[in-house]
Amino acid sequence: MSILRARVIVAGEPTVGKTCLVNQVCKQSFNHNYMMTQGCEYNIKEIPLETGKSYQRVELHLIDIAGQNIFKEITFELLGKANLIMLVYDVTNPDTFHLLRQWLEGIRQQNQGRALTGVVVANKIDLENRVAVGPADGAAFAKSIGFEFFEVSTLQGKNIDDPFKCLADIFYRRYQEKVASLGA
Amino acid sequence: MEVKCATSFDERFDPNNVLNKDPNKFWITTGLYPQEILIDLGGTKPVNEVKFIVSGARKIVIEGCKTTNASEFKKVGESKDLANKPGQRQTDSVKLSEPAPYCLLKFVIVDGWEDFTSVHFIEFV
Repeated sequence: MSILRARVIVAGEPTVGKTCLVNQVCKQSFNHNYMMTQGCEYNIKEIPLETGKSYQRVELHLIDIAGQNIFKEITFELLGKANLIMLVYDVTNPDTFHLLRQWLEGIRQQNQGRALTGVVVANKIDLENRVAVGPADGAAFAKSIGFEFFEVSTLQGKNIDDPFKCLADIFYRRYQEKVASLGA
Repeated sequence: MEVKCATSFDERFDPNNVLNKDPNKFWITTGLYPQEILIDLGGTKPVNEVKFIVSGARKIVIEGCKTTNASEFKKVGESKDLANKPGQRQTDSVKLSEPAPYCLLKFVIVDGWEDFTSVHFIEFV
């Protein structure tokens, strides 16, 4: 058995629910009060993979980056050495969606020369009456940057594991591709 | 000479492959940097330079230990940024700043251009 380990940058504007999503997935806990992330928080999510005869596990090392501008000087360096990216927006707030491209550019700047991919996550889909960014827009954006798209409700725990499983699959596939390219 | 320890392990790719001249045998990291491989030189041997064949690596550091107890490692060499050659092997070397007899050497992959680095061959000159 081998363990693959990936550094995942979780980024997006403040209050989109990045920390809630990560905590819900890693610790099965949901905090109803907003607790601003200062700098960054670090969590590990283990995803088991059934891959034919061998059993493998992917550890996602989640770097949950503070969305607030006041932390940008501190957090900029944390965006480096990324393997995968999770971009999160709030479906009720169009600004959080439109600013994802800026987040992506910032992450790419800190990871020049590396091929990066990941997932776009539309959070708070439980707020059905207040949806301002439809899934078609989210999916189109994700496609335009070569990412996968997921709609989740962290509050209800709906679909929350899916983007993490997808990241684990992407990373495992990359490992297999690397091994194959070496002629093994 | 043998590998005493490595920070990544996939049963298909034995870390000792790095000491084998067969280019099709290799050791591969399984994610995150830094990664390292600790090599026992099988006694005290003078080393001036470390030559290597890798892929996906960005920066290599060599640490040396003059005793067998693995407690006093010191950085003795460092590569510049290796050329980014996606899908190709990188052949390079690190000249030691302190050429001397060593018992143990660490080959440290400080950073990579790719998610995973393969190490095909390490030679001590």
